[in-house]
Amino acid sequence: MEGMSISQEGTQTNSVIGAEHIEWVQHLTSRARTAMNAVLEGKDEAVGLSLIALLAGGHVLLEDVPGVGKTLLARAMGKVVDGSVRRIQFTPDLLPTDVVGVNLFNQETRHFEFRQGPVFANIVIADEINRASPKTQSAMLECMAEGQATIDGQTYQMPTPFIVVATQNPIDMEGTYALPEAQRDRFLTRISLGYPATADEVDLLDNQIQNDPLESATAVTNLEQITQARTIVRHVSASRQLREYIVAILQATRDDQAILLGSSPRGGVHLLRAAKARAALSGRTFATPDDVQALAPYILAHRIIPRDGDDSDLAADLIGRVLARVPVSANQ
Amino acid sequence: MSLDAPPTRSHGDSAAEPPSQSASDAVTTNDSRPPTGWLEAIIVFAAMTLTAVAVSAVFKDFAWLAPVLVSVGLVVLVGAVFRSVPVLRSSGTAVIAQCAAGLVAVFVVCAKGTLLLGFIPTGSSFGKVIDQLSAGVSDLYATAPPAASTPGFTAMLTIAFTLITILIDGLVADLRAPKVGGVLLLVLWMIPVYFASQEVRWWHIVAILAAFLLLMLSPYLPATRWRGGMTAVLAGALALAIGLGLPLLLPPVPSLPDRASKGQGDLTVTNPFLNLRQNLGDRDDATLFSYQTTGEDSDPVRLTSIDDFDGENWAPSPFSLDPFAIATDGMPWPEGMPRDKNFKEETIDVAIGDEYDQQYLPSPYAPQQPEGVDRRWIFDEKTLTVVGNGEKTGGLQYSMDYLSPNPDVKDLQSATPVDKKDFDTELEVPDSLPASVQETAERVTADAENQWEAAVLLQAYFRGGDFEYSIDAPERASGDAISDFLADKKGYCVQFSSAMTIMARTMGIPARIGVGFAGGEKADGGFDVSMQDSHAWPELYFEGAGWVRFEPTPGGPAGDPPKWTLASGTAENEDSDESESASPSEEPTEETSAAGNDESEEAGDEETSTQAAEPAGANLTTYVWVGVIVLALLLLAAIPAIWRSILRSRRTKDPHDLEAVWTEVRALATDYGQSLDPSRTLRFNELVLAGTLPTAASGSTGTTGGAGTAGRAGTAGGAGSSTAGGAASGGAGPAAVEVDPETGEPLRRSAAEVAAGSSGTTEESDGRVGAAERSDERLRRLQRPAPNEPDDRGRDDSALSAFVDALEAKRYGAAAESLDDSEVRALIDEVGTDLSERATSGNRISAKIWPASLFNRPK
Repeated sequence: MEGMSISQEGTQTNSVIGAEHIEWVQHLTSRARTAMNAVLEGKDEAVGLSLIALLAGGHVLLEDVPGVGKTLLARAMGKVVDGSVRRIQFTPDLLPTDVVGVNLFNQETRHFEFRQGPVFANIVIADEINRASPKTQSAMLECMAEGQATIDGQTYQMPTPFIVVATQNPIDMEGTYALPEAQRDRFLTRISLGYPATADEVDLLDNQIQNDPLESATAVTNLEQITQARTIVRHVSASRQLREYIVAILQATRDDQAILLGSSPRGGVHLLRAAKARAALSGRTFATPDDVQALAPYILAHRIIPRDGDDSDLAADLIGRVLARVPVSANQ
Repeated sequence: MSLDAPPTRSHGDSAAEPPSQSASDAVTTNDSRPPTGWLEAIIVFAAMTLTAVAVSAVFKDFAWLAPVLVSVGLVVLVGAVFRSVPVLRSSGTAVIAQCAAGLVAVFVVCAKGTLLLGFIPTGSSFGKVIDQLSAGVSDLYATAPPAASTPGFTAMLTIAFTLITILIDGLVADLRAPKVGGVLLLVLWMIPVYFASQEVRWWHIVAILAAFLLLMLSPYLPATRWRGGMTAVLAGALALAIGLGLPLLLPPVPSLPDRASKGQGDLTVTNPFLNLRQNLGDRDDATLFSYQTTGEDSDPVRLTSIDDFDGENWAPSPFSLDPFAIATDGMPWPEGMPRDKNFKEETIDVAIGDEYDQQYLPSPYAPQQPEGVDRRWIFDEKTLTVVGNGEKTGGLQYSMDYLSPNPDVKDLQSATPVDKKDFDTELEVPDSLPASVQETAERVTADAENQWEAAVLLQAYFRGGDFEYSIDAPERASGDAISDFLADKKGYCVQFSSAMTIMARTMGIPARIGVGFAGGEKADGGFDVSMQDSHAWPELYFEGAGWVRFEPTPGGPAGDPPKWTLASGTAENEDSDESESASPSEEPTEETSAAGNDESEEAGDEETSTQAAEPAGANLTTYVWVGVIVLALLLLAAIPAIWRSILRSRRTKDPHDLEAVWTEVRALATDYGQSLDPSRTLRFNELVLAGTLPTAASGSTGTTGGAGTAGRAGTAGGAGSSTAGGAASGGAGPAAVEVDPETGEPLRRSAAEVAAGSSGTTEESDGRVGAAERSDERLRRLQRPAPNEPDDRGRDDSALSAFVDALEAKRYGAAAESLDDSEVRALIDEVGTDLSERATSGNRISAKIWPASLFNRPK
């Protein structure tokens, strides 16, 4: 990968990427994925999705019952990309300043000094984010959306790349606050890990008792490569036809009688970014409706509110129904 | 932006092959079947043998069969050798070798004696072959089916079969177009249908049918693709039903006179066309034929009777010639003649000179049965004219039984007027005929109490002394020849008989003109007839007596009027010698100029066309209507298919317009009852079209209800539906991620391999995936949210895949993809075949004749 360098100013969208760039991204991802899979038995799809989020520059919401490896996934990712990893355990009494940081008065210099909170890291693991008070949860908003934090009028940039991997127990469990709608929308994807398959679970019992799975994980890439990969992914082309298709899907979620609140435009932005990442993973220099369809349930489900209760399975179902209704192309 | 350095590829990653290349691969792989040259050779030989069986309908024996089959076999054998032996195969000279082999076979069959070493043709061989062929052509005229296998026929059939075998073999083995070959078989089938439709039995039809179907099926025999074969069978059966059914539906009558008249086309000497304006020139007095008769010498020897008058010319009204109305088998009773009286049975012996070579057999009216002539002399039952079907009179010697009319005057007097409907042409008066003619007739016959008396008075009018015999036609004074004659009162037998005939018609007496020879010159016990004796006379029809001759011509070769035409009722039997002595020769007929001959040929052609429908009457009309209706229905039924193919060619005519081609593909799917879901992506639909979609997934394609979305969410979750046994796969959507043990397995393997230091191994493991799992695998990968390998892995090298690649790149990658014509054809073929193989038989039929996409047009 040493030959790969993409300058930081390469953000114009009109440049063309070639098959070799895509292959490089594929290769990078595949190695990261292999490394992460070594940590998490049989969670390839979730691993893949979190890598898509990483490449698309989005945040991940891991939602599942406790003890299926949510935190492990987040930590594995941090380790593999060789970035700074901070973990925040959200509790009901956690204050916003505990997350973002605080200005302390330095007795010696007679100045206030900013002391960074744990959010200033490449990978931020927000464990059990729905246990925190809404006030604290909302403190994450600016960080996640803007990539920056403002304390006492001072703005501090987050490091690049910056990805929040929040884990969340299902909201009907004890001592949880529903994640505000606005904050959920800031996550690129919501992933459920689910219970492992029997064989995987047997292996898991063996492996995890003998040693810490994270021990085996090694950094297979670095932050700079991730940044380059992100740049490449951003340049995966998305034709007008594809964008029209995405908009049609978004509008369909808004028109659907069974959906109380449809997807925001940001949902479309995220969907397109994820589709580009998936296209790169598939070895294509352009995104197709296949990417959109495969990802839509993971990208849009947590952004809509079904009329019949906020249930993630139901939401994914509704997205599937919307997909079955929207024509892919004018010539279909 | 600058992506300044392309990433290095440290591993042999799978660089997807360019789509265009795989497309051309698809074309070639589809075509390159294993060299099954022998199977095809056997098929062709079997088909040709069956065809020969069908053609055998024409023949009495099978002597022709052996040379034909040997030639066919030789050609097929050579073809098979040249197509299966690799060295020869690559030379591509199979057809040339077959032509050489066929040539040798033809020479061996046709020109055996002239060959060097038994197979090398010499200069005379070619002439021999030509001789054999022309012998065959004359045999064709000389023989009625079923024919004996003469060398000529054998030569013709050997050449025909050999040539067609080479063509069919090439079509089947090289071009893979057996359908066209089937059409060629039908060409051979035309031989029995055309020449011997009466001899065709059901097994001949079965044989040609089997041969046809065998060829149709030949592409499917090597493989087990019987379903596609069914379509071919259907198409073949339909084509055969049309090809066989229509000729059988229409009675054979129309086609046969056609042939007969062809034989008659060179009607030469005695022209049965009479022109009233023509002068009689000098005529030869050489003897044309001699005869002896048991009957009255005064009976003229007739050639035919003609009844169609246009005001100036007489011509035979068209009559059909049935080649099986064979004169020597006996002819029907003369029209209107009572069976118990008013006739005398007579016999005439005729010896015709070689020079008098024409197609009408001379005989006094009414001929009944000739003896000593070929069976190709056939008769017209209305006029009892005997004509040769390809035969001519030159040198003929024969005897003829005939019934000489001898009506009793009393019967003639009591004859009632005829029913005009029965005598259309014999009562027809040209529109241009001036009223004066009828007025004259009425004036002359004012005293007549019955039709016979009227006729007698008419004859007396012409013979009464006012009229003068002259070999010159009357002056052209008015537009009408008859009235000119009546005014000029000069003319020869044509004018006299025409005038009397037409005047009789104006009075409702059916009348026509007999053409032939009067009397002749007495010579050793018989009579010699020359051109100078040619004559024409009116024949009038009386109920109860039939056609009766009158003699209005007062001179020339004409004899005395028959006794029953005299008012007294007593025949004055005059010396017939008078007729010989009559120096002025008048007769009309022969002389007619070259123009006249042309005319006759034209008329002959006309004859056939106008005539064809008449004989079978109402019966035939019904057949024709049924045929027309069936044809119309078939045409109507073909409209959707035709329209459909127009749409197809319109959509596929520009191979650069991929969207239009895709529209056609979707239309094809609709035709076969497998509409593509518009909410599905190109690649998903590719799987649907290729038929490789697992049933569970395809089941969810069409449904829109909750079950369908659950299915979709389930598959989107990455769980292969076919392995639904995996725990918790019931959980839809994200919950289902990674529950499929199948998913885990390859991953663990790749993890292990990574640990072992190898990379790029996923490809290898993918390569091990069996073909059966591939489609399942492809769908799963297609719907995985985060695939870990290129999504074109594992796709077949089909034209469809290549096309989908191209269209996708064009739509979403802004690439300037396009196909070429052959790729488009391969695509449509492939998709059509795949769809057809999976469709129900009902869908398969409706796709051909009632394409659903016409009514449910893809937008």
